[in-house]
Amino acid sequence: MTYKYTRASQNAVAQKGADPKSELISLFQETLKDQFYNSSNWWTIQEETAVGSRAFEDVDVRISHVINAETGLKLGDDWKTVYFEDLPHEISLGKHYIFDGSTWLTVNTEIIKNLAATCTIRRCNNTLRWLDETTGGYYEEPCCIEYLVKEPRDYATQGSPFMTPGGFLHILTQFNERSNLINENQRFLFGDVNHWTGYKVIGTGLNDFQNAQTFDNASAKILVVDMAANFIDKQLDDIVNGIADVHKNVYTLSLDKISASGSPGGMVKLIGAVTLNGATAVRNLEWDTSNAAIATVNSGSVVLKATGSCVITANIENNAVSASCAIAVSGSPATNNSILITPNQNYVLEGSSKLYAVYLYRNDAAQADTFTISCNAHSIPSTSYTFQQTDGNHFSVLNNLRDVNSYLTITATSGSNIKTFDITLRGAW
Amino acid sequence: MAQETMTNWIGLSAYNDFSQFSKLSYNCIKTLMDTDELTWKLLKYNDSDAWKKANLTQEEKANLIYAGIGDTSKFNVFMDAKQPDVLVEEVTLLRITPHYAVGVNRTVGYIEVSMEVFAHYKINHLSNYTTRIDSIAERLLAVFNGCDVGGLGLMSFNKMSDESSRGFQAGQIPFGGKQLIFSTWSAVGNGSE
Repeated sequence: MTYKYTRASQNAVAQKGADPKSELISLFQETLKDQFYNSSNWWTIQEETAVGSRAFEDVDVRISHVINAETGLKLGDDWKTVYFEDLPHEISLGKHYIFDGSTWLTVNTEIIKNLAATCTIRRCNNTLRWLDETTGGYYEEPCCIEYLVKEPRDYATQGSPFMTPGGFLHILTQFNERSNLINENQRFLFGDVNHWTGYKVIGTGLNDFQNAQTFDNASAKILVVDMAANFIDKQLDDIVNGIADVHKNVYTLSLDKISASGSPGGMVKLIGAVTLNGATAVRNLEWDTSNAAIATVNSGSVVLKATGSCVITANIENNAVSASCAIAVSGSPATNNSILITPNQNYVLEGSSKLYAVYLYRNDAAQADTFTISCNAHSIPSTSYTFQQTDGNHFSVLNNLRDVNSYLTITATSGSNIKTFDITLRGAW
Repeated sequence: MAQETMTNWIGLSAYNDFSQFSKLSYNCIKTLMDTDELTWKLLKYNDSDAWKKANLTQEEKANLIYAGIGDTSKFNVFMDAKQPDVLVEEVTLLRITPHYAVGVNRTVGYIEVSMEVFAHYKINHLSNYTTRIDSIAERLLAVFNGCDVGGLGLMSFNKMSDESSRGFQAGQIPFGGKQLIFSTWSAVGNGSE
């Protein structure tokens, strides 16, 4: 294709009365489009639809190298300038692009009072991986780690009897709802399975206040994280996948029913119980069905649709820990019994007592049935606790003295319905 | 192989085993949970009216104590004297830990217990014309001087009992503090649980 050249003045004459600025922009756009697919540097890459969305779509761009404005030298292969075909193409600091096996982070844009839609992107050369203590979710965020570790050294000459690792990392990552969970003192591992290096976010290590709009504190798009060298814990870190403190936060999830049945149009309520390091915890759950034609689920409420069977699965939000319940839907109504013990707290603090309620639920409606409630103390001395069934639906446990070796198993029986519940006698905290 | 004799047996049992040494911190903190309210309010609340807030429940008190999991900067009470995580908030801290073990002779000895209270200077002054650090130090003295925390002899704040038993200035800007040294005497496994 022949390069098409049109003088603005000629076109302006042809469209007499047009705004010269608009006409110039129009010509620039036309020229850009004419050249775009004639160039040798256009590619189809993936562009994030919105910062933090993790949804990507194909976009055609021209890619060029980046010159360091201060030195005049070309930056390395980890920096690229991206040009878009359409002038109004939406670009943003922090937006991700994917090509050549890497995620790229937009670190500079040319959108303010600039004619062409172009931005500078930097290749993410690593990943922040963490299990968030508060949400229980596992997260990964691509990040750009500066090449040099600042002040790397063993602190052997500082008068300390301990030689400890030193050095600082400067890291860029997209600022989004996930990276916004990162806190000071949080640890990360970088490296590979044969050699991980631990780093911890320093006290002023979270720079999330580079606002895109001056007065809008929610407008920052890039998070700058500074970390100092830290240690590896081979027992509590996941040293296969490089995730710090994973085994410090051990979650379990169980459902109050492992199976349930009913007829089309019926409902079943499932209740999930989460523990963190053995103690009950509250976390968001995600629910899914193996066959939405048989049964659907929303926040644990299962709606039976048609005869057949399926499995309802719950997992801790963003965490692989899961539990499931087999659902059978038949033509005839079924009776689903479940026993609920509240509060769902599997420990009693030393010096405290806790009153629990036990009720039978039939098709999710509380029944008046009463229970025989017993306590198996295993190896816990009888002087360490006081168990008492106060009536047919309640019992209390008083923790006289902590026991870190065993636990109480409570068994509630009403006819053929039996439920067991373990309670640990924790210390004062 | 040496033959076991009554003399050997008496000799071995005459050595102080300082049992309960490792449980002193827990016992002191548990005692403070059960017998004091002001300290916990001053640990939890940062405002100058912290002293007149409602008393904390045992569970609320427990939530202030570091249990070995997570970022230590999110907690206020510790069983050791140092912490590895950076403090990024104005907080009040209490650290209770066995400080020194002193063997007077092979049978009798005493353990010095250090109680350190620190508060960020910006939150130290209270609206009742006292300071947070001194108010907590006062409560610690009141609760633990002459207190039996279990397992060892009485806790004592007494230079007749231990030359080091006194209060010290502690901390450095921006955290001020006081360190109180209590002593508790023990002899020959008198504290086995």
